Amino acid sequence: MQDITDLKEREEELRQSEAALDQAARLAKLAHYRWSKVEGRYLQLSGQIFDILGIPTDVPPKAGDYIDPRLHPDDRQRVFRERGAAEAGERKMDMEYRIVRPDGGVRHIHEIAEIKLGASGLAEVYFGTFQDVSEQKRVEGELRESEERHRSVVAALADGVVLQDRDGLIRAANGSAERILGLTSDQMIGRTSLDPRWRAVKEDGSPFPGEMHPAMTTLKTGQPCRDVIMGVRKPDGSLTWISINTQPMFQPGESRCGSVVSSFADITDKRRAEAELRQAQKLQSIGTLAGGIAHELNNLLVPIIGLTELTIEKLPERGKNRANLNNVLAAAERARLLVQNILAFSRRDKPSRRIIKIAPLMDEVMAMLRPVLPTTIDIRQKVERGTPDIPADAALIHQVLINLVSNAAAAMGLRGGLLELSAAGVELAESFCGARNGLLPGRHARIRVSDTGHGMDEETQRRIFEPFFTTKQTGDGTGMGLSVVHGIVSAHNGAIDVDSTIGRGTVFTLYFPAFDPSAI
Amino acid sequence: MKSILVADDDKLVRITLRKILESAGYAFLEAKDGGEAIELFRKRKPDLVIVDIVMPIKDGVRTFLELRGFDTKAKVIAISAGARSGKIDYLDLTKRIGANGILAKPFTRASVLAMVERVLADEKGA
Repeated sequence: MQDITDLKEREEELRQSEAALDQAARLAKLAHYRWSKVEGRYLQLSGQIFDILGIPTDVPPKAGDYIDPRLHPDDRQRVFRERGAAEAGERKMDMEYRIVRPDGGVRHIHEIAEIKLGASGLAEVYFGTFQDVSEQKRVEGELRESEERHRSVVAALADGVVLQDRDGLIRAANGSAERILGLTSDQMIGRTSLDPRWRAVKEDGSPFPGEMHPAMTTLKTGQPCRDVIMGVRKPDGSLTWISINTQPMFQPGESRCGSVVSSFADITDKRRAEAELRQAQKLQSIGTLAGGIAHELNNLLVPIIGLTELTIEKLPERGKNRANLNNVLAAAERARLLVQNILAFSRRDKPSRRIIKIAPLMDEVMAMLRPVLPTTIDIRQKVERGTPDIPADAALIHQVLINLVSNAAAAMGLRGGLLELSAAGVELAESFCGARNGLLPGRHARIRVSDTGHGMDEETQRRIFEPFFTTKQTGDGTGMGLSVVHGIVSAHNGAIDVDSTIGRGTVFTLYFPAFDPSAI
Repeated sequence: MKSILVADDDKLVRITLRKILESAGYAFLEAKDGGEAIELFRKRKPDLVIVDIVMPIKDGVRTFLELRGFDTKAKVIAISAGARSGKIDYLDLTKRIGANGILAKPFTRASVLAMVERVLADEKGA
């Protein structure tokens, strides 16, 4: 007798192990095989193949070729080619193809095989596996589609979108980011927020340090940033204002922020329109206030003037008291004129319009000012052909030009420089007018007054149209000048732009609607 | 002696006008708002009313209209220190709706007396 207990146990172990393997294969949708190329049949094929191919299990597993007749027509040639190449080459095969099930369903198969050569040196036996990877394929496809969708959404966004890695390096940027920042993707990719070329500024005009940029803050803190306003210099030197939002991104399982997505809108035009609106509101409220004060002062001046006059009459002709009271009257008269000026400013009546030509108006202004300007100032004057006439109050436009030209001269001082006064006809687009309150698209006369003087910083440029704002020494100017200029230009449905660089000079550009003879 | 009614809420303006008008020989009546002015006008029938535009209770424009409603020939000079609402200048408006004269504050004694004389001399009235 032989003790077969041990043997039985080992057989049981083996059986269990095979069952486990079989179950694993079923779950993985994996079949293994040995194929005799010489005999044209399977030497071995696991039952899992029936599930994969969707065929009845009662077909003898080793009979004939199960795969080739079921190959998807579009993949057939490629499979044969790759098989042939593997036989001739490395004798290893790793490929994906589709098969068509009897019910018409298509499955994706991943086949891996090794090829054993016979004595003749020709392929004799394949040993390999088939795996149904349809599910992975479907997920991959969906993922690809979803990625594609996201990519096209990002590309179509009007907002700029920039992706930065954990070191702050820009990895991707959409078309709007290129447009808003004036840089190509290639120029942006690889730059960090710390790059000095951004020349970013805060709302108050002070430098925006790279490490404080919202993207860097988000990388550091892992927290999103909302509506951070930043001014960025485009390569052409113009300043673009953007409002930035950031979103941190985390790799699964990581607590440190792995990358950051910044989206930003171009708010340059919006800011300009808001600033103009604020300016208009400010002027309006100052006007209301000035009107109220003027009313009170006028009432107070009634007894001052009236009673002084009555008293003077009762005094001797040559007395000292009479002289004193005459001075009171003179002062009251000055007060009356001052109040009248304030009222005129607060009312800003619609100007009386006539059709005026710009060239003679400029000539008049320059004829008046040239003799009093320092000879160190080189004056150039040019009115381009086609500059339209404008419906305007000549006296007011005169005042505007005198004000701007004197300012330009003052900015250059005795050091001198170039003062240019020019006019041209321009067609204004809707997009240009949208950011400038009161301006309507169409033909305009553009008048420019430029100097090569000391220039202004951004803060000054922002405030110059405010009443009583002046950079001049006390006594040199009232500060009413540019606010009145602004008022006059607005009253003509025009607009005024200022562009200035410290040390380079200042350009004031005025737009006035052209006279349209067809509108009469 | 011709009598003149002055309606103005500002006491100093009334005092000044009283002195100016009395010095020129006119009888002076005064009211500190539009309501008082209407009352006095009905009772005393002055030859001329000088009415301020900005007054409490009843403004100058309404007072003017009521005066004319009561007496179509009432002679009225409107005075103002600059009353305006948007594009409407009330002094100008009062002139356009028929006031005999308008005078902006502050005014000189001579300008007040000249206008008073002119309006009083105008026999046609309104």
